[in-house]
Amino acid sequence: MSNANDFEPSIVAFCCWWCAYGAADLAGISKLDYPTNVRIVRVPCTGRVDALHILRAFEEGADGVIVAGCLKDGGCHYVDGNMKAERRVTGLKRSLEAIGLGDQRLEMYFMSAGMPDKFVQSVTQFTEGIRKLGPSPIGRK
Amino acid sequence: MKRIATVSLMSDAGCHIALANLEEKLLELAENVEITHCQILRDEKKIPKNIDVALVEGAVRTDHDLEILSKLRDNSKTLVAFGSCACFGGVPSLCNLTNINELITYVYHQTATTSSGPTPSKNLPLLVERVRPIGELVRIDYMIPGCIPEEKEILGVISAALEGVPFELPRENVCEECQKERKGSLSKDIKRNYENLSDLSRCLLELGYLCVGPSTRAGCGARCPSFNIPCDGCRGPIDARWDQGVSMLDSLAAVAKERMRGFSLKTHSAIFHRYSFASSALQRLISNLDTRKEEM
Repeated sequence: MSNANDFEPSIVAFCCWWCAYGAADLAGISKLDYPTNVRIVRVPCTGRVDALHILRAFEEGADGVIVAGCLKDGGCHYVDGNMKAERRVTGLKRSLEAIGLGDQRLEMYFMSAGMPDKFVQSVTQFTEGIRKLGPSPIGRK
Repeated sequence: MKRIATVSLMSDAGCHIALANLEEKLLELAENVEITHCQILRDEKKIPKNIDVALVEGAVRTDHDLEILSKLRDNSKTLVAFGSCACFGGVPSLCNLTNINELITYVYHQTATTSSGPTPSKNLPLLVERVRPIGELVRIDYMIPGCIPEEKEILGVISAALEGVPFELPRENVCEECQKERKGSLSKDIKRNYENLSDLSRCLLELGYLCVGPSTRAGCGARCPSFNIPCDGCRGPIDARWDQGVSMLDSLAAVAKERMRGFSLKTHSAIFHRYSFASSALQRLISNLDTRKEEM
């Protein structure tokens, strides 16, 4: 098992095409720094992210999962996909807590395509949180 | 003459009752085959050799079950998972949500009808760490899902297995067969099954009853909803890669605002995973967590 000091978490981020992925893209163009631990999966809308996708990521050994979508209250390109995703994430966090994985390994963030700073800040904060928590008890395959 | 054997692992023998319930059709079947091992028909302890079709009822709970199962697999050409316990773990697999020691303490010391005494240990098969569907342990050739299985599928699978041709189970969900009217508007709160049903023609899920029809395999003709009882998902997920309960939770969380508040894992698993917990994604995560703890 790796030392706590050199633990590099692997984090899966489901980012929506219209906002969060745009923000990540803009962060890249603006040459902003953010942790390389984040693997971005582009989805058409966070409403597309199924609870099974998230569970599957944990099963395959992700230490943390981010779902990042558009701003609340009408920011979603598909009207309310991000709100659906938020309810799913809330429900799933409770299940993850109950099975003993903890509810801090899954988080939902909201941002618009013009907010690269928000994206960088969110993923940095989340990665640091996971780094403190340590590797996922499920381990890697 | 082809030889058929049936065994029952951890189960309530309901699938054997379904088999006996075939009545005259069972006699027609018995004319053409030899039934070599069947607890409801003949007193036989040993697993016979050279079986053509073996029907296995129930999931694996003890090492005795495991031994019967592996012996049966070795001795038979075709193995059929008979009923939801064999296919997905069934209702008994819900005890996987509890620690095995807690389970034994509860069963032997804490239920209302138990008189206190030592936990029995002599001459008993040991429990395996969790209830598992038989498909996790041996190769299965056919599945007959359902609790209890449908008559047409029992006969269909047995004759397909005797001829060695594939048998296709329905690929739709229960809602496809349900006659209830769907209007697209949902009730804000959840109702329990005993609560008053206001409209007999409407979809039960829309009225707020937790009907698992949307994530359950069709083939029963939506029997429960047609008697105004919400589907409890006895026929399991439509595809083995799916997760019946998580998809249900997923869709409900997406459509119903604040509806699922106060639902613990045990509550929603008991409703949405009632017949398929042992083969769910949550079960896989839990067992991964357990093996890691042991390694450390």
